[in-house]
Amino acid sequence: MVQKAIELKNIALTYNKNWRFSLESIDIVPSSIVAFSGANGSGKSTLLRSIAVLFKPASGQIKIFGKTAFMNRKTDRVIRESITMVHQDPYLFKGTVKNNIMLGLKASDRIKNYSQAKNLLKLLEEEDIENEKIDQLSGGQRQKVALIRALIMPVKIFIFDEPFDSLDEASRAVFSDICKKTVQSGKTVLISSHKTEEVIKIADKIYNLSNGNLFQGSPENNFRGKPVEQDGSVYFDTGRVIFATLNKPGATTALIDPNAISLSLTRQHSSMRNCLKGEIRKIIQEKDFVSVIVEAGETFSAIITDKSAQQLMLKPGDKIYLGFKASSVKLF
Amino acid sequence: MELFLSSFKNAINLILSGDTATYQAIFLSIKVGFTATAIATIIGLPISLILSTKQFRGRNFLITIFNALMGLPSVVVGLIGYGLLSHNGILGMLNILFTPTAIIIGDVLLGIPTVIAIAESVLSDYHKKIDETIKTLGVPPLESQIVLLKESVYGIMGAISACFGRIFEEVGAAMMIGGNILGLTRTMTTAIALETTKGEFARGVALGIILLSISVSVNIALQWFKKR
Repeated sequence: MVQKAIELKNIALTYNKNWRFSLESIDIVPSSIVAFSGANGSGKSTLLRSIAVLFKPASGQIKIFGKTAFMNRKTDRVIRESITMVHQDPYLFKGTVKNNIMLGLKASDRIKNYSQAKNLLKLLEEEDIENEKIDQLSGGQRQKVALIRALIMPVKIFIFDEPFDSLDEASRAVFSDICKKTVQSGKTVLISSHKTEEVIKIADKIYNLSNGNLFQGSPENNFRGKPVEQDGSVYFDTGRVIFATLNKPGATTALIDPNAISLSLTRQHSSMRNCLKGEIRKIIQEKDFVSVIVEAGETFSAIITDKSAQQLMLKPGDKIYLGFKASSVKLF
Repeated sequence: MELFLSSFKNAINLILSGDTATYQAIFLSIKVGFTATAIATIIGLPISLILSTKQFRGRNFLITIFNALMGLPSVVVGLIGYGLLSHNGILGMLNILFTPTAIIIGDVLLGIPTVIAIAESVLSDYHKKIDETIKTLGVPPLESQIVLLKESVYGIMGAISACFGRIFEEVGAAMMIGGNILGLTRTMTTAIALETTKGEFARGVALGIILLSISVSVNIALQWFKKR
């Protein structure tokens, strides 16, 4: 049996007096990329800091490769040797890019790991900044230096908090590839991002943080499958449901914005090519809107206004129709 | 105004003429000032490191005390020093009352709270910024302290500069435990106080110009170092 890399049980995180986040249980195995998505302020960073053994939860248990965290400082220091984290706004130390990259390396690792760092700088098209002073760098360059500093660490778990911020499109693609290669060698990568379209391309699992809770899957309706052609039109087949989309050969993932899904109590004849019948599983009252989780072959999430929810008088177990345009289905 | 102008002119003459009493006061002030600042820094900096990076019972109370002691009047330090170092005092057997050593001790006591209070504030700020990053990079504890000091170096230099200013410009302790003895314990500040009361305004102004110049030079050097 493969030892789990990370085990979280009955975690409650209190960040300030007015906010509380809780989850029952998550197990993360090695060689996987796990993403945490959610709006700003939903608790992603705090959760990641707890997993990195930097922020003690109010209650619950965190285990890293079987060792329980937050028992005492000595054990925590040992546990942290297998983890590194890049914060959302990473701190770079005075000096050059090279000084920063080498800081986390032991003397015995420096030569080998620094050549790895130079390769990463080249991949990210920043090979010229090696001897630049940190205060001369742009925001994107600072982010890259922080990511490289972490990637060359001899650890088993990499945690990146909003790594895609400040990176251009090409660099995001390179970083995503690096993450995929990292997990191939048995490592584990955790990423938080509000840019769901980036994480769904690489994540093996996505957890969404919302309203103080965590649930698996993304409310942005992320589906794996393939495009198929029927009667001259293109559809996306997830294996459990088929919906109309625009053509994108080779796509493996479909994403539907919850705001683009309309709900009705009866089948509507409209310009929306997709109309699926389903059953309401859950209704989540958010701050300014209502999130309705519907089982219609796959699990869909639709966002409607408070007023709409009141008018439709929705409740779990109700039969409902989901409508969305083919153009609202984004394929990757 | 005329008094200032004529005194200023006489002061320049005193400086350029190499007046013995004037230059003895200058060199003693520099010696006492730098020595006391160095000792206060050696004692105060490790304490501020501990206060800024460790959590323990009484920590906040200690920080409050050191902050309050920044305003400790130098004459009170002189009073306490006199009581301890005089022949009837518990440290009377050291026989250091009315010596430069006694002034240095008094100035160290004045300087330590300044170093601790300012350095602690700077180190705490940087500690909050870098602590988690240092931990995620697996930097060992001792090396972490060195990294923290390096990141805070400008703030720490500010603390040392403030300490030097406090020590260099104080009168009370130097007067009471130094005795203001010509050629032995007369510093620039005690000399200014004495010369002014004697009506030797020009000498007082001369020493004041030099006192200001040294203070300003130390700060200019600090700014230059920062820009580098």
